[in-house]
Amino acid sequence: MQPILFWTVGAISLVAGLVAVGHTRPQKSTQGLLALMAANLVILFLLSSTLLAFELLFVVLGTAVVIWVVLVRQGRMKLGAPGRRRYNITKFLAFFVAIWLGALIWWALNHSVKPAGKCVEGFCPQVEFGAWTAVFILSIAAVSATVVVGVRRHKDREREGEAE
Amino acid sequence: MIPSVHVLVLGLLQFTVGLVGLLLRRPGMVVVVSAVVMLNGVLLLLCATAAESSLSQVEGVVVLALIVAVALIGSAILYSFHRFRKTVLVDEHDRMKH
Repeated sequence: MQPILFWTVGAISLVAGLVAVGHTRPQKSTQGLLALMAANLVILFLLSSTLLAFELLFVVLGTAVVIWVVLVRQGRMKLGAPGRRRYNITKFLAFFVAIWLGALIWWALNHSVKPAGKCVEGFCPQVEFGAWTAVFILSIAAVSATVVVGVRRHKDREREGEAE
Repeated sequence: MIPSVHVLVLGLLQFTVGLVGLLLRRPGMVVVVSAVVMLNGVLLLLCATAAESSLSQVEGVVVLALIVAVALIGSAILYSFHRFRKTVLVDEHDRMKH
């Protein structure tokens, strides 16, 4: 089971790496790098390198904060209609949701790596539980963000339709 | 348990992707990102050898610090280039003097 999960996350990291290297827009490139580092974070948990994983977690969160401050807060990245400058409340809220989810992952992993049993024949239940928890919560975050952004775009299109 | 060979292959692939970007792309930001991708591959390679060596975790921390340093210093150099030359394309920066 672990090799399958490993190669699934590995494929995500490779695709993110290709996006980071190959995209023409530097903003997308930076977002690809962030996705690659997040995927590597999960891989490090799978490899039981908890120390490195937590350090990488700090780096990923720091990168996310810098991107938010430099790109999103400046109002340069727009979700809605082109040519309209506005500060996006959705992204502002998403930032705090991301912090909350990060804290939740931290809590879940801290509780999951407690010695609840011995690793037998390469099967380490506490580490596997931690990795699955991280993947599960990150999946929920990704789905929620997609839904929120989709609803927002839909409302923007409706408003533009009414204005026309 | 994940075999070390799998981790080595993934780390090598990430390193190759970063190397290709470092050699072929012109925008400065993408060059910095490619260097960070390469260092992420190195981090995975170190983790693959963590079972054999007790020093690998410490070396991994050093590589992580290096990743952050490359990103920060690279961005600062790019900012400086952009300030004086008004471009971030690495081909345009052929002099250290501005």
